[in-house]
Amino acid sequence: VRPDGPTHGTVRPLGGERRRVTAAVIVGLGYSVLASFTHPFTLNADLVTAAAVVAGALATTWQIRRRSTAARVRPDGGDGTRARWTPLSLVWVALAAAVTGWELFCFLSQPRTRYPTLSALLDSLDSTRVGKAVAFGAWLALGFLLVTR
Amino acid sequence: VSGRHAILVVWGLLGAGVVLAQTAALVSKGRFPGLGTVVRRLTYRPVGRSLLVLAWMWLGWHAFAR
Repeated sequence: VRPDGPTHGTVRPLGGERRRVTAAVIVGLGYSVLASFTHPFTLNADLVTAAAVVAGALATTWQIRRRSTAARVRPDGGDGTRARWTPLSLVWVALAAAVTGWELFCFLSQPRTRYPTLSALLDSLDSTRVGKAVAFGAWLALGFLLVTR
Repeated sequence: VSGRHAILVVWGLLGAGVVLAQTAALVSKGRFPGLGTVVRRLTYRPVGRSLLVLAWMWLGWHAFAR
């Protein structure tokens, strides 16, 4: 199988995809370290975050256009992996509803020190450089997942 | 246990639930959908993908810039 070639049966592509993911991880790690030197409510923090947001917007636009083009050729979405909901997916829906409900409860309760929201918990993590680099890296990874899946 | 500790315990349980569900997905070898599978389902349509990316953008701006 060529590194970037088509797959047959259970044979997985080697090289190309792995190289792209490795490159994304290295860039993401470096960018997260860079972001850890910034502080909220400063121009540097605005610029570093905005650059990632713009990159995410461009990548999403490109991905949507690529999929819509492929969908004209293949009704299943172009890559043959049309997703289906199953009853077990409801576990994730229930978890998302529980997190959202608890966040709302904490958000509407006072004082914030007694009812910490996810933001307040994240602020605790952001208070150290390593913590901020980890949090920023996790946010970038989530964006990468959303754009590439 | 103070009120704050009780709140943190619930946050911890919710986090453990997410980790447990993802672990179940890995162990079940596809029978139980993982987070990646759910995300793929949500991003199948452009509207779903756009909404999730918008939420991601807001989260990053809220957490790291403002």
